[in-house]
Amino acid sequence: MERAVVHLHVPDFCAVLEGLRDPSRARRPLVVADPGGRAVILALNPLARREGIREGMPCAVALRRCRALQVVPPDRAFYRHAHETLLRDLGAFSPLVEGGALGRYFVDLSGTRRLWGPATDTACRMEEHFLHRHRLATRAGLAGNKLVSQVAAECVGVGDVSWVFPGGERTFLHGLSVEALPGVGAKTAGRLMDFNIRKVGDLAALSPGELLPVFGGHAPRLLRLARGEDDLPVVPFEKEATLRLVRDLERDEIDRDRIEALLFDLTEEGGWILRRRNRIPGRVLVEVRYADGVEVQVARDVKPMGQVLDRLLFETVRDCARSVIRRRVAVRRIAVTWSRFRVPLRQLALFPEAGWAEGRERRIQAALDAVRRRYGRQAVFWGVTICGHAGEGA
Amino acid sequence: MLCVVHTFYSFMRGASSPEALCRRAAERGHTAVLCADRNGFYGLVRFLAAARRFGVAPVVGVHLEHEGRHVIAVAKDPKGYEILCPWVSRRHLDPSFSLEKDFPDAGSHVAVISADAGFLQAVSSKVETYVGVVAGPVGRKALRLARELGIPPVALHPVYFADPEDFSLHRLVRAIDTNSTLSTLDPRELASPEAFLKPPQDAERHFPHCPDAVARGEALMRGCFADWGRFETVFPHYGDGPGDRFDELVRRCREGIVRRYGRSFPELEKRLAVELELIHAKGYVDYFLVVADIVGRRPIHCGRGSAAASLVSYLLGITHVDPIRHRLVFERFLNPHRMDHPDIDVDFPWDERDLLLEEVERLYGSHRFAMVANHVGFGARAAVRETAKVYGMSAADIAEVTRRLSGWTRPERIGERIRSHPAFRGFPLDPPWPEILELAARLEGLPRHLSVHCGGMVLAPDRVDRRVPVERAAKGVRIIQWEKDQAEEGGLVKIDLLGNRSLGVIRDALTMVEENTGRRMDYASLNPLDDPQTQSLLARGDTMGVFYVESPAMRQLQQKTCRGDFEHLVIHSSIIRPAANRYIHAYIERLHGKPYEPFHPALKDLLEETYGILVYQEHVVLCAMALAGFSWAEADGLRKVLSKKSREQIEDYRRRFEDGCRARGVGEDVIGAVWDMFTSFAGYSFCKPHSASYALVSFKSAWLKVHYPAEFMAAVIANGGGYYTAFAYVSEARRMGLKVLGPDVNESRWKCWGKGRKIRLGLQLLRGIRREAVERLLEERSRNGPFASLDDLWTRVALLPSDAVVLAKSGALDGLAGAFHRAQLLWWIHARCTEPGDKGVRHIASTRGRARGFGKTQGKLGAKNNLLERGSDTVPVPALPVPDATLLWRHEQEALGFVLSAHPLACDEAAYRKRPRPWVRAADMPRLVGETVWLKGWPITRKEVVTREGDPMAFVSFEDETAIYETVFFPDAYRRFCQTLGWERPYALRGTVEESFGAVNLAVSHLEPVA
Repeated sequence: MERAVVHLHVPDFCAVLEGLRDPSRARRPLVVADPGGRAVILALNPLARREGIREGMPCAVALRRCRALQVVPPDRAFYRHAHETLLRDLGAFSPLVEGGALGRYFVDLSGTRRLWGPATDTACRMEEHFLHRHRLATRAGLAGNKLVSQVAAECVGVGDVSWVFPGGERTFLHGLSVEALPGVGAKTAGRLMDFNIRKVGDLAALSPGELLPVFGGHAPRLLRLARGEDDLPVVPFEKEATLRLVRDLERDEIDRDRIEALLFDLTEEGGWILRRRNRIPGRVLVEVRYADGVEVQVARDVKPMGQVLDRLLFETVRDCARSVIRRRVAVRRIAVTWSRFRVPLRQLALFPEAGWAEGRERRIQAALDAVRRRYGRQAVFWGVTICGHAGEGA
Repeated sequence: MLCVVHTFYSFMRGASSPEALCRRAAERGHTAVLCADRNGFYGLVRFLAAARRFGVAPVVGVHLEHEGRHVIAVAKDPKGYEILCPWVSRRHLDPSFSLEKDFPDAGSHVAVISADAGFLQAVSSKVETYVGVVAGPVGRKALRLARELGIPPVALHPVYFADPEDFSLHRLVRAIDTNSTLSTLDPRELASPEAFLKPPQDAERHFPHCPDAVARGEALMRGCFADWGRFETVFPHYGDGPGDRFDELVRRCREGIVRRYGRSFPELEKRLAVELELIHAKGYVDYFLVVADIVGRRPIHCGRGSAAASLVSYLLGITHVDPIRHRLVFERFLNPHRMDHPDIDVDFPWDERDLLLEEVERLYGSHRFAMVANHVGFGARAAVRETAKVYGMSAADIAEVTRRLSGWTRPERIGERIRSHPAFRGFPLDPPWPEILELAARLEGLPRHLSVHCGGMVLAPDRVDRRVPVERAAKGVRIIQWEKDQAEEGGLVKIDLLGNRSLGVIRDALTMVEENTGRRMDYASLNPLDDPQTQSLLARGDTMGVFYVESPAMRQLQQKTCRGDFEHLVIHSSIIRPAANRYIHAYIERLHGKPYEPFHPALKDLLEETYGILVYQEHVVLCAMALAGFSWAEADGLRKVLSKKSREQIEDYRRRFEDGCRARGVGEDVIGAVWDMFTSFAGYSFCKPHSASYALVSFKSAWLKVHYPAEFMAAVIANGGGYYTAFAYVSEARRMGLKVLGPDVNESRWKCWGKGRKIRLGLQLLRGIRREAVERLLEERSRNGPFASLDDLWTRVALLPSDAVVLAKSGALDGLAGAFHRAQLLWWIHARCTEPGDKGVRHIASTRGRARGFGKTQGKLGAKNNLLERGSDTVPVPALPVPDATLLWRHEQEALGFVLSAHPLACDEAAYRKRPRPWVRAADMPRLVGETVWLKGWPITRKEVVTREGDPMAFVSFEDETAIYETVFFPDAYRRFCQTLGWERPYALRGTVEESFGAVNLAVSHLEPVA
């Protein structure tokens, strides 16, 4: 059976979504960037691109280039939700739908000809669906594998479908720049440039024996890319149960006490949710984004506990944070994700592991929860978080 | 009670200056202050001066910290200080230093205070000892210790800053020093917030339990010598021991007369007698002999500064300008009224200086030799960068701010710069930046660490460390703990041996001339002052690369004056100082014949040679004497104050000058005009002997440029530095009609080499290659001859792939590449250099046969070495596309830092074509005076200045493919374009061509980056 993989790409996904949310924005250059003059551009609309603005450019520079630029803070939950909605919609066309980065989708249409007709028609229908249902203009590439379909999509404008005939992959890729190949980054492209290999065809013409001495173990993969060979399947999206809480700091923070106060606040929120859902996490992941955009993360197993207790939960989170926040650069964003949930055991242990201290901790937690259930979460809080509150006040 | 004051010379711990602490001490009722900085007497001279100024008794001490143990040693008299200096020196110089074992037998000259039981027990027999008791629980433990050891306790209050609010600054410097943030700073690294200079009664309140310890501290202070007057002046001794060597000096001067003049004459005899008498009277005999001995060790040098006015210097060969012929005034250097001790500055080729210093150290002995230190503080950029790091700002954010600050901005001027400079226009400074900038401004004047002064050297008659502690700098040399001002105040007469790149240029050019032509020229006897071609070159301002006259301002001045003779060059070298712009115009007008009247009849003769304009420092001195009746010492004081820019002192002198002038009947307008001219000497200015010395070097450089252009320009590029980049000098060489050839493994030397009409770039210019790799390559070539092929090179020299790639990209391997083009050459290198254990090579072995079997076109490694015929050495090289010029330009840019095979503007020709403008060539500018034109431009150099109204503007030199041209960004244009103007990119400029005395420039009205 002939494989048919469609790649759909919504260009400038986040910026377009912001334009749709508030149509008055769509008529002017718009960029999505974290708050603060020194944030970098995360996404932009075509009008901003026309002004010479690019992703990764400092916001201050972009504003100097274009005085009328609108800067919108990112709403990641909104983008993620929209992305998942589109994924679900595409599920109507095929059970094999893979969501890559935001606004990029692979749909395996192999064997659907009798159901939907030719794959090109289906791809057009998907584009129309996106446009009419969600007002999102897309471009589509259709080919025998994910690699070529993705490259094919980049070669056409929005609203068009690019179809690469089976067997025509090498011919199609031949004249393209090597940078068009997904997986060829700046470093590899620079090295290829040294050898004056600028077109994919030049690279594809080389034999493995010629490439191996120079590119070593990367040679076979590079050659496969250049020849349009890709046997990776389209893997449907599966979601593991997690609880992820994110804090984008209003102001970049370097003070360790204030960061830990914020983490405690985050942990309390997580603990509150977990207790209500009757889940105990087995693992925690702490992700930190610094002000210079560098992101670091660390994951650890959560110490076994019979019940979610905020202060015990925080010990692991704090240890994670201390091991990961080591640079002399302020923190801009913190995310904590709990996963590998289990249901608490109701049966009491014969020889309780927790001693008097844990019993006391349980009673405190129960009292706090009781107050919060009645008067709201902010009715009572631990003193350690006052540092954070005081800091904000100051 | 003893307040142990740490000034900011306890580097990165103390937060207040000695002056601030002494002022506060006086205000808060302290009668005496003990200054005990960490591990040295770094700020001793300043502390003593401050104590004198504010009327507190200074007590000298040191807080020695070694392996976590602390001792405070107090010098009870000058002898105690002499004992402590070597002890502190050993702490820095001796890796096996031990607090106890190395402690000297100090008797009653020193008192030590510590809470270290081991130390106190060990030294109690050698010195007066006390147990230091501080406030709090630690102090109680110390009191117990005092009882146990039977050593009297003394109450201490450590001080690290003058006022309580300085604690934040103390925290900041500790965070900077420990690479931490304020929140992660270890509390043990911090002083207490109470460690400010409290009134004595407040500090005593912390010791209600030990009044005897408080009283003992006061008694100790009272027992210390507080009358620290001036330090004894220390001259070096010539030879091994003390003795009068005046006869030796006279004898050598007599030899010098024969060498320099051939025979004596009355004017010379008269002047020599005066100078020798003064030198003898001032104790400079040995000093002159020592300097003469040092300069005699290197053939190329240039004695400069006021010492060039001395006939004795000239006769001893220290300087090369004839002071009699050029009417240089000896009194500028030494006169009976001068109270300070001037030093002699000598320049040597920059790369010979370190070796010379080593030689001097060997000759005179390490114990007598040390370099003068620099106390490195914070410039505005460093202050902002370090403070911002403490606040966790990202590197990119910090760079955005610091690049807008000039490298010359001082921390205290940060706020002013942000408010007024156009670079900050529209630049948001969100929190926490205002806080960062405010704190950064407080780092003004704070020393951070020691470095080595660029040439100052002290030679003591016996041991340097008797007078000041000595330590070892990062580069390994011995340095004293004082910087040059304190060294001078401390009585140490230094000798400045400075590095000069242009002397290196002249040396290298002379070497090339000798090797190329066989003509050997001696630097000292090269005297081209009357060479017409040299004078003509100088008069045209065609002086890029020529020492001291290559800056755009100087070249334009030469063009405007059309004078290339020595006398005028001396004037020009001196008048070009920054604050004298308005007088330069008057000078040029008068030079071209505009009539003028002297300010005052008394100044007519004095300023005749400079057309009535004050040009040299001597003019300030002599005018002040002539108009206001100042004594020489007073007038010389005015000169010094002007160059140090002390506003307070300048105002004082102004009042005295005006009073003096009025008393002698000088009119108000004359007083105002002359004082205005005096102020143009603020910042830096030169004396005539200095300018004459440098003008002589300029003449020698210019002579080489005229007669041996290839050798000269090769030497200029090879020695680096200078006013322009290597690329700008390469362009200049091309404009001179020279052919500049790229590096080549078989032709290039380490340095650039010029011969005939060609310059071959040296391997020194390659970027990103290890020096030892190039040295190995050159050594192998000189031993076994040129490389026959790539394979030959690889067999004979072990090269890393990264080094080989740089060689290939620079074009240095093109001569060996045979049929390979650049892309294939790089392929071959990567394939050949792969490590044997690498995955790739294992594949080579297994796939080599297959590779051949694919039938691809195989390259050859050179005519003599076809690898296909060499079996195991075969490296398959596919038929890659032939690279175009843009790829080669890119390679050159990477390997050399500039594009060699084309002008950089040619690389952006396509971008210029997209902008259809009526382009004109820079070479045609003189024909277009008054017209508004469009020019292509590549920036070469740039200078920002501030107008009298305080608005910044800039002079920027650009070049196109035809010529270099000067542009002016007046304040309005600069405000608009300063953020657009950068480096290493092409620009389109629109402006009006203006002409002044034959020199043309472009007043820019529009600037846009092209690529």
